[in-house]
Amino acid sequence: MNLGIGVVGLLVGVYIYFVIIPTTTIIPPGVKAPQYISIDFMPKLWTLICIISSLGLIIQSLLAIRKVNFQYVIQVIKDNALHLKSSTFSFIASMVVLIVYVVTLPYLGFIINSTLFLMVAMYWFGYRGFLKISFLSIAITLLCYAFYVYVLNANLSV
Amino acid sequence: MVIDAIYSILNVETLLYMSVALVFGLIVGALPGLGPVAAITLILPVTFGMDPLLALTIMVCIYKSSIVGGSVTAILINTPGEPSNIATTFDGYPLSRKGQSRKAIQAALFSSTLGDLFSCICLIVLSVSLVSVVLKFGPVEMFWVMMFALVLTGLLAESSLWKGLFSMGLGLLLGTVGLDPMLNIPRLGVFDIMGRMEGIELVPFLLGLFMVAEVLTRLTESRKNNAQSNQDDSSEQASSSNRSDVLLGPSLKLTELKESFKAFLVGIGIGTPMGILPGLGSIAANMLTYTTAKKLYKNNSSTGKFGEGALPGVVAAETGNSAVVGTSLLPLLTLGIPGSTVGALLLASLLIQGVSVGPTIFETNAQLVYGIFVMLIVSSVLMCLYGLLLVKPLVKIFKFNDAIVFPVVMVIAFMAVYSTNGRLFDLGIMLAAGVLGFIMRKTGIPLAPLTISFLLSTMIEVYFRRSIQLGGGDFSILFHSGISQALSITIAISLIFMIFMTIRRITKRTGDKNIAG
Repeated sequence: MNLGIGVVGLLVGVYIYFVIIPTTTIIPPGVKAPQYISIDFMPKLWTLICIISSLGLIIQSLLAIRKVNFQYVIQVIKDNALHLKSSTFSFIASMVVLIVYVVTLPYLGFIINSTLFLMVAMYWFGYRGFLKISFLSIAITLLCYAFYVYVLNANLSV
Repeated sequence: MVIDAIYSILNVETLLYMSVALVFGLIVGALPGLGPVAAITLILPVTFGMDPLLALTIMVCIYKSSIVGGSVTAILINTPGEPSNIATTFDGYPLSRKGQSRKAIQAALFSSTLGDLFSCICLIVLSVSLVSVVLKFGPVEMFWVMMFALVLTGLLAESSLWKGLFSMGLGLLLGTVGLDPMLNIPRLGVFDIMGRMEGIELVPFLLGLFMVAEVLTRLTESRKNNAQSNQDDSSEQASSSNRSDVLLGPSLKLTELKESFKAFLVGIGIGTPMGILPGLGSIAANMLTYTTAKKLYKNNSSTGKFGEGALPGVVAAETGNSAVVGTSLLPLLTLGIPGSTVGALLLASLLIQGVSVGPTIFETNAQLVYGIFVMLIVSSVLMCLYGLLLVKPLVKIFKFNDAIVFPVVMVIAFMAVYSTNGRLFDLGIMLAAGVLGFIMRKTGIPLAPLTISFLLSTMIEVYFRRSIQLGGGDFSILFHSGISQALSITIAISLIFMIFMTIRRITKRTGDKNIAG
């Protein structure tokens, strides 16, 4: 796993250093450039720390391990086929639910969206009973909404 | 000024808020998975409109009482509410099984309160004397002090040196997104809104990193278990009648208190200085004080052997984790450097409120500082009272279903983030930070260095660039003063030492494998 983190960290670090930083830290015309240190100095320095530590992780991993284990996200089960690990599947499914929540928020608003989200999430977490889930979801959403809007005077209109 | 500070805490409104926060913290502490960090992050947006002292009071109360709440479940059902209560289970639960849970909980509560009070007094004494020295620091010294704190956090946070450094570098890099602090030029704006505006917003970032990541972790780890536990609901309900009678056995005796005094001294002796050092939190203090007390008592006490229900074991562990609380605020108040993740959240709260933390706070906002001192002491006393009163209902909280708690927490997080700026983009930031936090947890990369360095990134850059400006472009100014020389050498030695230790550990492990092969 450390080897994977190191390789990903190194690649992302190099990409940030050579592509993202030069293209996103540009002094606009008319603004006086800083006298001694360029504005991309610190981002580059911090990226270097990431790159060096990623290299350290890679070297440490290469010295320490003999066999690379790719079973963190994928596993082989009885039918000799490759499948996503159940935890990986859970993670992807939860992310899909969360992204759908954010994307549909402008169309459905907080009350409907949160109620639906709570129903799905409670079921996903293993809570059973349609009536219980529906009642709890509606009650909790209304309670939270009322607390933010009427007690904290927050604006939750989308 | 001191009287004003006392009045600002000892009034009905503040005491009411403190009570609510303490009860909330006790509940959160009793719920495994939802720690003080998650609770404080969740409460952060609610405190926006409040007075800075009141906001800080609420957060500190939640922090303190969640540690105590965690100890109750650690003693009664062998499940530490917080990682900082792990060592408490070693002797707390055996005592509980022997039918002496009342004694164990009383010992934990009293030792926590006294350890916390001692730590707070140390904070008051040390900060007043330390700040006079720190006020003489220029930008060069401040830069090195911050770098020292960051490197220490990166090195000591977890076992892997490289992961700690990686987390630190990532936090510093993410902190540079937004406007250049000296020229106000947009920087690293991958998305327009990030670069052209304030950069990565604190609240969605922190909520994502801690709250969303926690929910994702719980979801992926315990979904099956929850489904199974729901099926076995009826059998749990049957057993719950046995659990409800939680306080069993006699109260603490004077002889036992006398016997545990050495363990208390060990707790404050180790926990208090550990709070000052960045990166060493209450988890390390809890474990270290327990093992030290075990050696000191030669593994034996009147209530039993260590690991089989020794009361000094509970006292040492609980004093240790609570003695960290007060002194962990010392670097935050005097230098503006958070020593832990909770410290980072407190700093975030103050920054959002527009309070500049650091040595000058004692001059510019002295009433706030004195108010914090008074609040720390009052909250310790209240915490003990509420702890004693709420032990019974607290255990029932533990039986709260995760399937309800975590989705509700997510909805609150969504509403909290959206209510701060009314931007959907912030929800995206929260989800992205959640994924980052989840990956970091799964891969064992510590979150504390990332959080602390993210918050300190701008300040470090400002001090660094001011130093170079002072030196007229000459980098050697960074090593001119005695303090900066000492700090830079210490950082170098720490790094070399840790690299050496890592290499030694790897070569030893490889050598062992070869012999075994």
